[in-house]
Parts: sequence; C-alpha cells; structure tokens
Amino acid sequence: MIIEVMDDRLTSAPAPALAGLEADLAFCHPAIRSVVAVGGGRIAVRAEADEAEAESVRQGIRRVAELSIASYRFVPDSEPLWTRSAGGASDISHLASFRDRALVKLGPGQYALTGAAATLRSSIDARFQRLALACGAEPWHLPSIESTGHLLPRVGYLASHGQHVTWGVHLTPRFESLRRFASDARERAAIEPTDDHEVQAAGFILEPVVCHNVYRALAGSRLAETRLVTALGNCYRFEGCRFAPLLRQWEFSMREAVIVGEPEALREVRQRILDATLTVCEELDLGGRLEIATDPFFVSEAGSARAFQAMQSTKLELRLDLGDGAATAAASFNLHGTHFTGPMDIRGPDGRLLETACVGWGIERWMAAVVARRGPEPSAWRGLPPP
Amino acid sequence: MNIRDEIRRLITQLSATSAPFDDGEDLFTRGVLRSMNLMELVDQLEDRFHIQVGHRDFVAGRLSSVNAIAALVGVSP
Repeated sequence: MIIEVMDDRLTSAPAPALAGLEADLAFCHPAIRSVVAVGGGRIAVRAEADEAEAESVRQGIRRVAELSIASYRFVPDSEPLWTRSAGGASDISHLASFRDRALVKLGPGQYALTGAAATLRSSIDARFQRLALACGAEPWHLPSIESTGHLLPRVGYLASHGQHVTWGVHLTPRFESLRRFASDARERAAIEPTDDHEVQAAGFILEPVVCHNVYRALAGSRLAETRLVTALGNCYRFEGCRFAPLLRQWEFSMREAVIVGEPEALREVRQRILDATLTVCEELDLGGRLEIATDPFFVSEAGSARAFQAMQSTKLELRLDLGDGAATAAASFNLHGTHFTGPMDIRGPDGRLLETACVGWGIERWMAAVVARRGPEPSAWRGLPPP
Repeated sequence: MNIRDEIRRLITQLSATSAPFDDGEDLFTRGVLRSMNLMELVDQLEDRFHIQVGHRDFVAGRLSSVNAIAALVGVSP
C-alpha cells in the first residue's frame, strides 16, 4: 500500500534537506519497502502494512520528517565548488543493462561482479591506488572488522551512525550449546541462532569505513612527520529499504587515503589528492560537481553534528553524473580536527594532538558513473589502467 | 547575574569537562564544548536571549567563544 503524509515544512525545505529526509525515511519503520516521493509538501512511501500498522508508519514519518528537516537548519543549499560537464550525456539506463549482464544478486545489497565488472572494479581501484601512492601514501591492508570496545564508543560513532552498522555474533563455545545448534541445523534446517541457542556478541562490527582501523593502529603514537596511508577495504553499511546495485550496497569497496599530521599539512595533502581526483574525472570524461556535504548521521542525533560539519565545511563530496538528473557521491574529502586523535592519543613530537583527514573513493559508484557515461560495453571504457 | 555570566553558566552546564575557560577561547577547539552540544547551545541561547541564530552566525564564528556569543546577543565588549 502507498502511505502518504502531508507536511508543509517540505515546501520550503532546501534540496539537501529533501535528499537527507529521503535517506532518513529508510530507517523510519520496518514496514517501509521504498520511498516513492519526498517534496511538494508530500511524503509517500510504499509499505507492507495493515491499516493499524499504517498509522504507526505515518506517526514515524511525521517524527522523522520533523527531526530530519530540523537537522538541516544550518546547512545552506550552497553553490558547487567545482563543476564539470562531460563531452557526452550519461544515461542511467546503461546501469540496468550492465547489472543484467555482469552482476548477480546474492541477497539484499550483495552482488557478485562477474567478468568485465570485476575487471572494471580492479581498474578503477588501481587508478586511485596509483593516485594515492603518487601523493606519497604508504600501502596498508586492514581487517574488515572493527572492535566495538576501542575507538567506536570514544568518538560516539554508534550513536551517530548506528542505523548503518552490522554487528557480529557467534555461538558460545560450549559443547552442549554447539551440539544443540548443530542438531537443529541438520534436522530442522536452522539457518541462524535463535533464543533456543546460546550466542554472544563477537565484540566487533563489520567495518563501515576504512580509516577507523588506521587510527586504532596508530593509537598512542608520537609522529614526527605527516603520515599518509592508503588501503582498499570491504565496507559494510545497512541501508534499510534503499539497497541498489553499485550505488548503495551492504558490502562495497572503498579505497581511502588517510592523513595524520599538523592541520596545515593535512589541508595541503587533502587539496593535492582532491585536485588529482578531479583530474581523473577529466581522464574518464565524467561530469559532476564538488559540494559541501554532511555525513549520514542518525536522524535523532544529527542536528548538532550536521550543523557543525556544515559550519566548518569539513566534508566535501564529489557527485558524479548518472544521467536524467541523477548523481552519485563517488568521493569525499574530510577533515576531522582532533575527533580521532584525541581519543586515540595520537600526538606530534611536542606532545600536541595532531589532526586527521581522509579521502574515500567509492569504487562501485565510480563504476556506475563510468558505465552510465560510456555504456555497458567494456570496449568503451578507455582511459583506465589495466588492473 | 549579568548576561556574560549567564552565557558562561549555560556553557558550563553543557560542557562535559570541568576545565576552566577564558572568555576569548574557542570553546570547540579547546574541547569545552563538543560538536554534539551545538544545537543545544543554539536552543538555549535562542530561548534565553530571544534571538534567532542564523547560518551566517555559524560561519562567522559568532558561537565560538563567550566573547563572540556575548556580541551576538548584544552585549558591548
């Protein structure tokens, strides 16, 4: 059924607030299957619900809309900092034909990349790895899991981004418990532990970003020079009803460049990487724009964090054209101040806290932009290095 | 209690630290307030002093210190 809520605040809300509300609605109510419309004073969602539950959905939408729009109060609908028009139009319909021929859906937000898709992914990552190494980065490999008891609580991540997090659990290592689960799996086709089984939290989450484990690895360090690290990571973000191949996957590939140092050095390195990333847009003839942006904070916690981020312009986002007015945030350039170095006690030789910055390239989103611009045929993807 | 004292009291209530701070110090850089305190600070300033905080006040740093906030609410330096 379609559930509609009228809200006058939507008529005057700026574009970032409407886009943010659409994202926030994915975490409003488990009955919501998709967001149909946000704007013109109206919110419409498709939901699987009876009339009684529909009222609960409406109440949730009203509450989320109120908080979400309020969180954008101090986020201006500002002009892009950089724009580029491609030599030809992007066509979003190319994504569907590429998905049909080269991707296999394995579950919500989970896709196998076959043949040319896997090659394109490797080629794009190789390009950004080369970019980072040319800027002086040292290559790292990091785990795809992050302990829940270290950095996360100290920086408030689970409060501000808990909606995206996937936690790990495992069976308690007790023979009788394990034998009961084995028996249920064999005889009753149990596919996951239930209340009848003994489980415990694994003490980690599936990594939603690459950089956290870099700060954890550097905890307690005294760094004499700016440190620049690059790593490709498998990252995991639950997206509610908004999963989409290449654009919003539960598991996706992100290469990051992580910088730790004095504020001036950080800004210089971030700018160098930003300029080099814009050069990649030229190489691939991709259209897009660079904007001041904010993180996808959980809606009830978002007000202060979003205002502070927008106020300081600490997050810049490169949005690449997909055609038909659609775009995808394919790279972000972030300054964190002492947000991570304080809790992780990372200091310079004089004992003062250093600062951090990171750049993230969403590899599948770059794939989407290349395919939308060039089409699904691999022969058209010129400009990329071999993987 | 004068307005400057009232501003200091609001900030002390919001702060997670008991460290002293000067009127000219940047409250966020100094760690007296965290980014998560920002909207609560805005709400309290708007309620208490009947002002409307705008985006330009953020960008111009008019919430960054006791002195800046005092100027925002109309106290002469």
